[in-house]
Amino acid sequence: MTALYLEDFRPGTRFTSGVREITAGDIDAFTRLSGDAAAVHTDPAYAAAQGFAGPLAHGPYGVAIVFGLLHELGIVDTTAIALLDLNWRFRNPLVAGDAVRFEMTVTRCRRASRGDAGVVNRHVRLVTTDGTVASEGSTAFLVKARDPGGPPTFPGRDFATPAWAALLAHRLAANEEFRTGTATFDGSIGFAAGPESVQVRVYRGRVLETGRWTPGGPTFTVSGDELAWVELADAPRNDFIARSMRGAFGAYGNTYEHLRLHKAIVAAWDCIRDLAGEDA
Amino acid sequence: MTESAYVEIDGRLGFVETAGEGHPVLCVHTAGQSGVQWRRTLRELPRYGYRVIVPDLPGHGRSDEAAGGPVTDLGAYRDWLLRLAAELGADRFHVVGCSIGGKITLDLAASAPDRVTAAVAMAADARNARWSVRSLERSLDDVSSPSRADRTYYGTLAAVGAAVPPERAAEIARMHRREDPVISTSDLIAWTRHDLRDRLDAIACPLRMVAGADDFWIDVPDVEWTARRVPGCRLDVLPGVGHYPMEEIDDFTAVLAGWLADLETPRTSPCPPTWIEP
Repeated sequence: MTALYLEDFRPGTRFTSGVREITAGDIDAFTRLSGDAAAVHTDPAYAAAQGFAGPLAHGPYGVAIVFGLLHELGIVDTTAIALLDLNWRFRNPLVAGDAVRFEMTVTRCRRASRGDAGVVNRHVRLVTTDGTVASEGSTAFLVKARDPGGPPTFPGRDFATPAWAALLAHRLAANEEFRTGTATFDGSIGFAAGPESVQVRVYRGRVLETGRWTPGGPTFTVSGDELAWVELADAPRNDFIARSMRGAFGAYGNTYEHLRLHKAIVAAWDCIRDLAGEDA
Repeated sequence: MTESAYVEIDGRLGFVETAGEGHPVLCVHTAGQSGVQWRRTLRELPRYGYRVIVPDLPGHGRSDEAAGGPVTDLGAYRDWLLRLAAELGADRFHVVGCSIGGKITLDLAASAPDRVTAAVAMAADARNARWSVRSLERSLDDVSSPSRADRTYYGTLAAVGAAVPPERAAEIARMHRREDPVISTSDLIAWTRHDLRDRLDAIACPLRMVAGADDFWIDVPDVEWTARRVPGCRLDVLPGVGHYPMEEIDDFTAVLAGWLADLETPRTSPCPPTWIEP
């Protein structure tokens, strides 16, 4: 595959890697390399007594495999500048004989102020070939831009940022369900996508302003991680309620006002999805 | 031809519709709703040789309120249904139910093995651990549960499967908005509290469990857990279907008739669960 630049990454794009089998030799080698020779990784009898099928592959080895599989995919070998962060959760153990691949979803793309590069955040799931999630997390990297000084990439998908909220405001203002759903509301609706958050100030159905802060703060905030945002943006239908019931989205602040504005929030998600669709 | 009646049980009138001749099939509706959810089944299932019985549970539809007010124990509905069926001369009957009706179906099968001849439990499991009784009790007060009509409407839209055309889904959601929120919420409290896990081994009749793949009210692994504890239980996970198969599936009556015929087929040995995967 050819190398991908900043402009080639769009929030919502998915990549699936090839498969790698984990061997006892891999686990031994990682033990030597890392120095982590804990019994659960080296002693089959001890691992069995803990209820595991065999010595466990080290969690960080699974993370390392992600980057090995990414190298094999060949999409960023010559364009990646630096790995920026890693936030990881370990869901299920891996043992020798398991075969894994990753499913990677781009969740955020933003041109850096230097112009010739940008930050791309990714959600990555490391899954076994029988579908068990071994671990998952997000990891951002800095990638070269093809067009230094080019425009922002996919502003309709840079969720919960001031520039995004400004675009969203036009759609909210034109949405009848949002207008009637906020006809008796005086406050600010917060939207949070991962670490980003923004507010939409509303008075009686009219959007007054948008931005990082408002004098009174958000009445309530609708919150989800970046993966939840891109997944709903690209879902075949606006099933925000179902996803909320399953825990992908939550609300904090004045949750009774949040309940009262149910229709307006569903309408806002129609607008969010339309806006994201422009950048499809 | 459909007949309707008010049947007196403990001095209270319960509304029930019946149609057809043959082995009785009792149809139990979902939380806060009424027998109207089974209107097409009531008209069409008699063609397959059944006597279809569609009641409105106490406090729902055209039935009187329950003597003690809104019901928060599914066992009360179970007992009421057993008496209603007896009043209608249905000593032995099949039962099909959805959501709380599905859980009541499981309870009927476990509690009255001499009367229930086959059971189809849809959108139900032995124990629904995902919902908070405390939060539901709080929302019994209207002031704690704002925009209830909107939330029922959009919540129903979200609970309907992706295969249902949008206008049909909207119609289902508008129908569900007819509910009394206090009755619906009490039903959900009853549903959340009701734990059948240690009573599944009392189920002796053929059982089929049905889960919609798009149903956020239940977790398929919980349904599977339940199904595996009843020997010979069949389990279907239906793609594109949500929480209300009888309202969502176009030819639901034919599907149900197929399930009932399958349950009536004698088996020489218990079958493992069968799956229709999404």
